[in-house]
Amino acid sequence: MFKSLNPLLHSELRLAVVSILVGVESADFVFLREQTGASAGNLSVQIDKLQKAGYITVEKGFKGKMPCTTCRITEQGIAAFEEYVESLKSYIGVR
Amino acid sequence: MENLKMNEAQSLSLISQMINDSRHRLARNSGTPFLIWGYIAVLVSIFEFFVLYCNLPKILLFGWFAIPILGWLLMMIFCRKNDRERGGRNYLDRVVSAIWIVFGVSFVWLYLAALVYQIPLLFLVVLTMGMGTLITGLVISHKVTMWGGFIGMLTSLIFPAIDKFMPDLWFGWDILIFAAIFLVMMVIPGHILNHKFSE
Repeated sequence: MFKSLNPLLHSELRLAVVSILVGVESADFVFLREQTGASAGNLSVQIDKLQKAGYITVEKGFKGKMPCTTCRITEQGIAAFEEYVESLKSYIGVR
Repeated sequence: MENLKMNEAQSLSLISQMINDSRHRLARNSGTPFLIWGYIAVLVSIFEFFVLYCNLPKILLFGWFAIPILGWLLMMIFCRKNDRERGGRNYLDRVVSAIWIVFGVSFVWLYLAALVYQIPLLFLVVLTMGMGTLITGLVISHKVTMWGGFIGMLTSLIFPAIDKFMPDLWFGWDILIFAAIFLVMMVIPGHILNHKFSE
């Protein structure tokens, strides 16, 4: 029986952002933009969606004099990511 | 990267790529702290060797204090610059920082113990730095760093051995041995780490 894939994570850019945040403690907006190669506007929209779903937290602050947006994954985000990976495994037959 | 739907294989491949790429990026410059401490220790040691060898004024022996002072100063500059450039922080950063903070603080106690109990200071410095390097190597799973730390710990025994079996050996040779150990323990692993994770 195939498990359904979380539609919020089953999109290239949002999945990339969550995958990065799962492996790090925190990452700023520039880091995410450079790692994903996405445009600032698109990334900003997707980060907002992930934040509204409670998967990540977003903290706006300053690094020196430069504004800096730092993202972190939440417990809920980790659980959703794990469930998503489990669902993927059921599709490709990995136990 | 766009907001496209993917098939299952593409999703898994993307997850794996993103995790590996960000881990690789955050590991950049991870050898630099070893290079800072290693090079400062080697250069100051060589300077102090010549102070003794050429019978220069004894006040220059205070140059040993350049190791902690210059080390902390350069580390602060490096950390600030690195944090700004990397844009991210992973769990290993926190673990490695914690290891070295504990070793740094413990070193003050060891230094006092060395003075009170007359323990050779070079032995304690090499032993503690070797332990820190070995633990760091184990945490980051880097064999050369592990071996550097292990060799440091092992060769630290040279100093009490010299005190015991060759008490008349000129102290300048101890200093050169100290420099050579730091070269193997920190400078070489530092360069290899930086090379491994360079772009």
